[in-house]
Amino acid sequence: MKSKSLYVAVGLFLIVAFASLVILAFQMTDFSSTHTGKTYRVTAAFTNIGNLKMRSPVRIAGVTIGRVSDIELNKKTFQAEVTIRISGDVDHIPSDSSASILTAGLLGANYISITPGYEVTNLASGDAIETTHSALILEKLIGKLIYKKTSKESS
Amino acid sequence: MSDAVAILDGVTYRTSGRLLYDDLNVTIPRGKVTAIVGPSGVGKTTLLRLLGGLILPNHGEVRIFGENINTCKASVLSDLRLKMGLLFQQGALFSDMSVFENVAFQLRELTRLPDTMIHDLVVLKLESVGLRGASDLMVSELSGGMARRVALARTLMLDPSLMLYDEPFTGQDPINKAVLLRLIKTLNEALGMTSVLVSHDIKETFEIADYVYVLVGGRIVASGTAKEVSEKQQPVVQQFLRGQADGPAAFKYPARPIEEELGIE
Amino acid sequence: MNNSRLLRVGQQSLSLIADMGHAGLFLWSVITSRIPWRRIVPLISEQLYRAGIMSLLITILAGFFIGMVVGLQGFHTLQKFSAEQALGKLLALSIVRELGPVIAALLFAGRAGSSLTAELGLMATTDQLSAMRMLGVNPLWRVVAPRFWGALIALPLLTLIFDVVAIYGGSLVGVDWLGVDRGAFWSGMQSVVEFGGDVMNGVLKSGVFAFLIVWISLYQGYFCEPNAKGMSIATTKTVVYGSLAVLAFDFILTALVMGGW
Repeated sequence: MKSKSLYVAVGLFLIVAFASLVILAFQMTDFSSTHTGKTYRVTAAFTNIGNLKMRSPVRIAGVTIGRVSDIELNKKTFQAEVTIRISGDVDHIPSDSSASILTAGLLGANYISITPGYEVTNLASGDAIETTHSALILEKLIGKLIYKKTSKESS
Repeated sequence: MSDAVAILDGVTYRTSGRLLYDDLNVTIPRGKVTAIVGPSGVGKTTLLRLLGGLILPNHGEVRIFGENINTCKASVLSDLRLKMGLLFQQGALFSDMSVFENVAFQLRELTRLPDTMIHDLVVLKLESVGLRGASDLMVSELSGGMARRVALARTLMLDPSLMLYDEPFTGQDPINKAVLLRLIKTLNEALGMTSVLVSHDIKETFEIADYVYVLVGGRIVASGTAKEVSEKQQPVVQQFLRGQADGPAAFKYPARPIEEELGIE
Repeated sequence: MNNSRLLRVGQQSLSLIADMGHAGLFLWSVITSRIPWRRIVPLISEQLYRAGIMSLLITILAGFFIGMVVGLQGFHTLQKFSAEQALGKLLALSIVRELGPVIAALLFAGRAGSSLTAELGLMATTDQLSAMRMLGVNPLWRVVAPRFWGALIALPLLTLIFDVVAIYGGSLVGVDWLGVDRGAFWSGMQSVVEFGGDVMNGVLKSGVFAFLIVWISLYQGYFCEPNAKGMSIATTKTVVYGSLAVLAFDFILTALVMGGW
């Protein structure tokens, strides 16, 4: 039977396909940075999260250290409770750090930026970030600007 | 008849609105060569398909080795088919396999024999139809006659006790015909195989048939030994045996009168 | 007059529903027909070879050209916003999410699907399937099921290869010819493409497409009218229905995935 060469060809095909998967995983996605190693969860409450979405990046000094894993509305305070997964090797973020929602560029996607504080104790799994700054909503900003201008002129 | 291998009992079969058989009764006796002859288009091939359980009758029963194939379970039917062989008119060889693999098919799929044993069995079967040298050819490289001999070897692989031949002589050269005739006869005599032969080659068929059914217009019009049938005085039988266009068996397909078709009043 | 037209519409929709049911039963009997253990590897490998490797060259070529075209078009469009650095993101997302699964599936329907139909149609026309039944072997497990599983595995694998080739094709045009910064191209891509959300979703999509194409092509082949005209109709139907099914289900799946977010 010619089955031997058939198996070789099929085996090669499987190897090429699997290699493609590996290339896609490590060369073209951030597979290695988010899906390997341990993570821990921290929550933060915002009055307005703007366009923040699940899987939006979490950064310190512009370096991605985690992702948004859950967004829920707190039905008592009407704040958005955001759960963040932070990579396990960044485990010494001071507990008085603050979280703000920023926009990448003028019209880019929202992300969470963490500004480290000075406390000795570190954020651990399940902790909440107390100090938060909500997203800047462009429309509101423009509204405020116009209001200020007009009120100045009238007075 | 208790010693019947296969029985068609009151079979009615309808295909695309046309009534092919109406209350057909045929009995295939064990160990004999039974021939079913009739003009083309009368449904001889369909009869073999009914016997093989490939199609089911609208009414009536088909019993093979005592089992009713309309109602038996699929596993029983496939066991029954192992005891039957059907030689298709064009051979129906598997076109993506070589001659060797075609003949080895049943052994490969249904048994766990080692490759060396499969090889020996296949070579023996191919030798018996005179095609041992062709074992490496692909099916597309075979002539029609060779294809049918390979198909015969494939069908005989597990030595079925009931063989159904669909027009085995049509389109064969005289040598092939003679070889096939001898082969069918030997199988029948040496192995006690029951054979059903469907054909319109009167001469060859009557030479080997023990029992003959003449099928015209959806019913059996005559039956008996070859000699009895050829001596029947029924006009329809005589017309068929002598090859006359005019007679009770319609040579023309049903049509409106030709005067009307041509516009002549 | 009106009445008879209504009657015809009714009859046609009834026969359409009956066809669907027939195809569904066929699919069920294919999926549930068990291939004997010792025959699984040889039979499925053979079909993987026919469906997968025979379609490999056309898939690679198509992937390469499509990647190059998207690179070229994307570059010129993005350049208008001075955002050509984002080419990597645009290319990778459009290939991995949409173009890869869909175009690989359309090629597969034309290349492998039509040949499955023609092959089965020929086997039915020349009595090979009946002959197999008479030899005591059920063609469902011997002929149809291996083709089903082989093709079902082959398309997602082809899609992965298509994705990689297309992205390298795009990078050839964008980075090497048009001068997009190599670092920005790849890191931009890495920052937006997600393994689970984008790559695996694409693979899942192509699995669904493979299922549809194989189902349609095997059904059309197995039940085609046993003559030359019936076979040509069945092959055409496979390509037409297969392609339409791929595009329609692409929309449905995309809507489902996007809606989930």
